[in-house]
Order: sequence, then C-alpha cells, then structure tokens
Amino acid sequence: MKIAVCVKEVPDMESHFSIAPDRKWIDESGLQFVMNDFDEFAVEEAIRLKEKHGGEVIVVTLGPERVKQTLRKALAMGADRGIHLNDAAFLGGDAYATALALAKSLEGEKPEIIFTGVQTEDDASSQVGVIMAELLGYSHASVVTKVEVDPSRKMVKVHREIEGGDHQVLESSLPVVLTIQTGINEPRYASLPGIMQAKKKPIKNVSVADLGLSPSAVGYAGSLVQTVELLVPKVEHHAQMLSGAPQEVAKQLVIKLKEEVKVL
Amino acid sequence: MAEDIFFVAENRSGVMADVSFEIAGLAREIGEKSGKSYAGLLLGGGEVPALAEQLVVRGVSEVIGIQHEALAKYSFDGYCQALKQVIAERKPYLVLFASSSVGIDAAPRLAAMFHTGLASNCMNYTVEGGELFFERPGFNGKLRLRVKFAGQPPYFATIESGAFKQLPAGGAKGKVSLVSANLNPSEFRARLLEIVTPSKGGVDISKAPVVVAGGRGVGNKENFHLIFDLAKALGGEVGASRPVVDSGWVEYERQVGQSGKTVTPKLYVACGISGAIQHLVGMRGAQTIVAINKDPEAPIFNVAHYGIVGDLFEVIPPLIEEIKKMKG
Ligand SMILES: Cc1cc2nc3c(=O)[nH]c(=O)nc-3n(C[C@H](O)[C@H](O)[C@H](O)COP(=O)(O)OP(=O)(O)OC[C@H]3O[C@@H](n4cnc5c(N)ncnc54)[C@H](O)[C@@H]3O)c2cc1C
Repeated sequence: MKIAVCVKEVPDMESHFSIAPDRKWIDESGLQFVMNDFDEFAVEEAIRLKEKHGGEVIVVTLGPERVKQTLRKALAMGADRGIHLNDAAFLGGDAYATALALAKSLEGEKPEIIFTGVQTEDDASSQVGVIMAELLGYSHASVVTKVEVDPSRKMVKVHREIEGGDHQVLESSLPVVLTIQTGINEPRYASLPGIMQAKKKPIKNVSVADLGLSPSAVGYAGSLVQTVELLVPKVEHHAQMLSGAPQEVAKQLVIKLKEEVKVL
Repeated sequence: MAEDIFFVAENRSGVMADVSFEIAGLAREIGEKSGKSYAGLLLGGGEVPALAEQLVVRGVSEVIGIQHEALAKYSFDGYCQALKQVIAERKPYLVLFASSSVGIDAAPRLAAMFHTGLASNCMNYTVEGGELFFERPGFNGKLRLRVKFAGQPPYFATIESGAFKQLPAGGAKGKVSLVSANLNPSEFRARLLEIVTPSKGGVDISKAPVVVAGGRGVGNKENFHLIFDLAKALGGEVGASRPVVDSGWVEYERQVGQSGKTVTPKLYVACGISGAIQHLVGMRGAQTIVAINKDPEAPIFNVAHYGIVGDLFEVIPPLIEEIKKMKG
C-alpha cells in the first residue's frame, strides 16, 4: 500500500511571538521550529499501517530550506522518502493554495491513503487535508481517532470525533484523505539507527514549475483567504495578577478564595 | 443573487444545536451591516419540517429545508452535493457553518468545489466599506489572524461556538420552504455506520463546585498527583486538557473542552494549560477562573480572573499548605 503523509514545521508554541513589520505573519527570527503536533500522530499512523500491510510511506512538506529537519524526523521515525515543495513562490499561502501544491505533488504518486494532521498549531485553518481530497477526487474523513484498513476490499473503517466526545464510525472507499486527531496513537521516538538511516533516505526538491503550476496559483498570490494582519487577542477580563515569591502568592490567593470567591 | 447570507443550521441527530441560533444571529447582523438578506439552510431526513419550525418560530425569516432520506445521516458527499445544488442556484454572498464536526468536514470541501475561500473558526468580524473581515485564532490562541476573501463569492466561514450571541427571540415568524436534492447515495464514498459513545460512567466532573485542571505543563503522569492533592484540598474534582488525556495521565472522563466535558463550577483552577480555544469552550462559563502558567503570554490569562505567572511545581505546594492552614 502506498501511503503519503503531509507534515508542517511550526514554531514552538511556548515561544514569545512578535508580529513582523508587515503585520501579516510573525517575526520568525530566533524561534525554534518543530513538527506540528497533530502531524506526529499522522506520521506514526502511516508507519503503523505500513508495518501491518506493507508498502511505502512518502512524507511531503512545504516550506523554506529549514523544514528539511522535519522531513528527516519523519524519515527517522520510519517514512521511506520525502518530497519537499521548496520554492519561495509556495510560501505565504492559505489553506487552498497550500492544498493545491500538495495535491499536485502527489497526483502522479497516486497514494491510496493520504494522512494530514487535523490542523496546524500556527495557522490553525483545519482545511488542507479536506481540500486536497476534493482536488484529487478522493474520499475523506476528518478528525480521525481510529483507522482500520481492509486492503482486499479497498475499504477503510475509521472513527471520527464529533461533539460531546462521541465517535462516528464510518466506512470509506479508497483512495482517501484522513485528517488525524491527537491521541490516536503514541508517536514513537526516532531510534539512533533510524536517525542514521534517515540521512541516506531520498528527499526530492520540487519547484512550482516542476508541478506545472503558475506562480500566481500558489503562495500568497494563489490564496482565496488573505491574512490582512495579525492581532493580539483582546482580553475578556483583566485578570488580577498575583505576584511575589510562591509562598507569598499562595497566601494572597487563599485570601481571595476565602473572601471574594468564597469557596473556602 | 449574491445578496443572501446563508447559515447552515446544526442538525445533530435530530436535535437543533444552540450554535445554530448563534450563526443565525450573526448572519442577520452581517446582513444588516451590508444590506443583504439572510436565510437558514437545514439538511436532514423526515425531521426537517419540525426542526425548521424551531428556527422560524425563533424569528429566522426564511429557512430552506433540504429533505432527503440520504441526508438523514451525515455524509460529506450528501451534504456537499445537496448544498452545492442550493448554492449554485441561489448564489449567496456568504455561507456560515458552525465550527463543528460537520463544519470542519464539509465546509472546506464545498468551498473548494466553488474555488472560493473559507475562513475557519471565526470569532469576530467587521464590515468596512462594504468589505467583510473575519478574525480567527492562530498560534494556539496566542494571536488572531484578521482575514479577508480574495476572488468572487460565495464566501464561506466556520464560526466558533460561543463567539456570537444567539438570534434574539421574538421576531416575526418566518417561512419555511422545503426543497429536495438530487442525490445518489450509492455513489457516496463514505458511509456512516453508527455513532458510539466511547466510555461513559466513572467520574462526573460536570457537577463539581470546584475543578482543578492540569495541562501538558504538568509534565508527566507521576507529577499529576499535585493536581489531585490541590483538588482534594479545595474539595473539588480533577479536570484535564486534551494532551493529558491523549497521553493517558488521567481518564477521558476528566477532559474539559470541545471534545470533552463542559463545566461551570464556582472555581476553575487551570494549571499548566495554555488556553487554546477548544479548551476554553469547556470552562469559560466558570464563575471564577484562576490560571497558573509560567508563560505570561498564555491566552488562558485572557479569560482568568486571577493569574499567577510562575512554575506550577513551585506555586502549588505552598498553595496546598495555605489552604490547609486556612481550613484549620
Ligand atoms: C477538533 C479538536 C478538538 C479539541 N478538543 C479539545 C478538548 O476537548 N480539550 C482540550 O483541552 N483541548 C482540545 N483540543 C486541543 C487544543 O487545541 C490544545 O492543543 C490543548 O488544549 C492544549 O492543551 P494544554 O494547554 O494542556 O497544552 P499546551 O498548549 O502545550 O500548553 C501547556 C502550557 O503549560 C505551560 N507550562 C509548562 N510548564 C509549566 C510549569 N512548570 N508551570 C506552569 N506552567 C507551565 C506552558 O506555558 C503552556 O502554556 C482540541 C483540538 C482540536 C483540533
């Protein structure tokens, strides 16, 4: 079975974010970048399917040169080869422009299953996988918490999370795009031999021209939803901040809990 | 006419979800600000007329009920094809969905069918010079993205629940028109077999007067005893954010948020929880919220009443001590 996983490299969410001078994105200088949390679960799920049913796992990403480290991480976990959409024209795209580029890069590969995370932690649009499914004419299921493939019937049975913690159990034909929810599995750590092997696994660089796309169809130019500006959220309440040494803060809070909140 | 603003009502297994009235209210508001009319779309099987009635008696001026036995259960093919037909015919300016399991699954696909944009998980909007802008959360809730649509309508948006007020009751009763859809269920690629409730029973944190919740910042399962100790001192229950449950540190019944429980205790203490929107929707209704987090920019402080910037491992032990002293 041929399986593809789309991953994104995102800044560590515990960082301090400052807004870039053009206000359209963050200032990325000095930030640490990591694999999007949701995508780690997607990579793990893909590798588990390969281990069970045989086949190949292709990992795809879009981003600047630095994102090779995230591809290498997926390869070290057990993916077989990488595709890097590596062209300045791809950058700054919305979910549609990104999905278009990713879908084009997989058109010739014809994977039976494409995994993505439910959403990215930075842009958080939760759309890329589902749009890819439409562009490729694939079936899809989103927010998936369980996957069972029946290769002989070319079917997959999945659970997807709905409101109140209930799950829909559904059956889909292949090929399919599945957007993976956190907690579906326990992503493995790359082993030392895995990390060594990953260095030798192939990564193909792909440009906009290689995909036969015009630069105006991808990146910011190809976006259907444009980010005008980033904002710092307005606060709902101005929290009363308690400060001082831990012992001191604890005392202050207990007084509030007794006198104002009246829970003690 | 690109004059309508549609909202897609949330028919959850035959029950009208509250968020339907929130997106109805928003559709009307945006309509008023931009000189457009609004209408509800409701998909389903035999229950459609009765559910549509619930919307129009609450003052929704027009509801288009799309009734088909293939829509009695959710499927992306059924929803997308049925909506595509109505949208192609009525050519709305904007279609609003709830940020829900339906919105996340059907809206991106439908927007892609029209090659138009979808703004997801919107929490605020403005109309400026006739142009519509939405605000949606990013960077785990630390920042908002202000976005606009490029290209032609129909535009699409999914709306976070709780972000907008419900349509005020008391308007004139609206009208329902029932339409059918041209669907071929045998060609649907995905089929809903059943809905299961993974685990029920065990603890119920939804009624507890005090909930002390731990997040990823607690670090590991062993450390979680601190959260249990604090909950015990305060006479409350233990809650958790999703990553804690994902990692198996506590059971699913303790998860607070969009895919867990909604709690409205007198006191909610969030320890090592960043405050992502999916968590906030489950605890924003608490009377008093205390947040302990080492990151002064964590969005949890935007909803907290009392905030402590600090390491939970340094703050919680003396806090337990002080509570015990106070109780004598
Ligand atoms: C469809 C969907 C449904 C979801 N449903 C839910 C849901 O029901 N409930 C839910 O919670 N999430 C849900 N999520 C996930 C949500 O988006 C967030 O990822 C999650 O809430 C983050 O949990 P957290 O705050 O514990 O972790 P993080 O965001 O990683 O935050 C950890 C926090 O701990 C702080 N910290 C670290 N160490 C310390 C220390 N020593 N002392 C003090 N503070 C410290 C950090 O500063 C940080 O702010 C859902 C997501 C999706 C896409």
